[in-house]
Amino acid sequence: MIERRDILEEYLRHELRLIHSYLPYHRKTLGQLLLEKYPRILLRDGTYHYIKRRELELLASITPKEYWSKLKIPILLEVAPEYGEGAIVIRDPIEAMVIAKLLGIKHSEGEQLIIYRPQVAELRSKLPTTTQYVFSVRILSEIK
Amino acid sequence: MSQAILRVRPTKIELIRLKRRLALAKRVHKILRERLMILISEYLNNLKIAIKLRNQVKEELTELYTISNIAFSIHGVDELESLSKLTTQPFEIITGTQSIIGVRTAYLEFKSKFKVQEKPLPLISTTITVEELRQKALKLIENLSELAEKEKLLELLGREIARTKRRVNVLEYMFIPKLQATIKYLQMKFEEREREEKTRLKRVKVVLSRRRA
Repeated sequence: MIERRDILEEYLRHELRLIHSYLPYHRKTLGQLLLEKYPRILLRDGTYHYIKRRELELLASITPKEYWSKLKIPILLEVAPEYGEGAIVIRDPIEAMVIAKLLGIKHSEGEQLIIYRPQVAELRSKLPTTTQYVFSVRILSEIK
Repeated sequence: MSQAILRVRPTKIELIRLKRRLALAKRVHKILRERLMILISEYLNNLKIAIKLRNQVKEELTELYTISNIAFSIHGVDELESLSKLTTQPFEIITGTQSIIGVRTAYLEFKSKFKVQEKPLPLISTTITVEELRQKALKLIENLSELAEKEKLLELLGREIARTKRRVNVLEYMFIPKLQATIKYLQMKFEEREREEKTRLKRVKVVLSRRRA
């Protein structure tokens, strides 16, 4: 019985470990990826995530050239239930600026951006391979 | 809803362990529910795109058959076959993998090696129909590769949704209620023990006071 209970607890912890296995080891900048023949990123689970060139070109067209070496891909969309159901926060100011520009939203420079379900759907249809969902650090730290 | 309790030793340390496990289960449930919602919204978004693409491919195929029939009637099978041999490797499809919220799926990217206008077929014995046929065929292959990618993604997302839903339900309707019931049972058991202890002490006190008297 004791062993079975341990298995259940281990299963719960395993679920949590798997939650972020699809995130990249290191993110690459837009400039780096544009130079690659087959743009791809190594993920934590050891697989590669290929990125569509047309998405990179779209990002390059709306991002000022001085930010190409600062804009990291994939752009992280942080799931933040504390801001409402389906709310997503983009913390990095450069990423937030680019996304706001792409979606046509007003955004003050240097601040995080909060978007909601319809905007997320629009963003994901435009940038399916250059954006990734990530669960809030706050939720995960509560668990540990 | 199962209200059965787990078979545990009724000790305080076990109660602490169960409470810790309940907190962990609740948080895992919360994250899995969030993940499920994202998976469903991704599924719906991709479904819309896939339906649009499939209709587009159908229209393009109909158009392509009409043009190819015209081209065959003008040039004949042999001539068209020899022309198709002139256009070796006009495109490539880059294959790989992509991960969408943990769902690993196929990645297909169509890449035309040259633009049709830049390198047209030899002008001898070609008409605008053949050129049009080639352009439309290339466009069709591009859309087909995109459609294949989306439909595979939909299949995998569907499976992942079912799996995650099952896990959320197990946590919500089985695991968490069972833990809560066990915790409640243990708490009641400890309260009962305390009451018994108090009664026993009172009884002992009465007996002792009687003896002294």
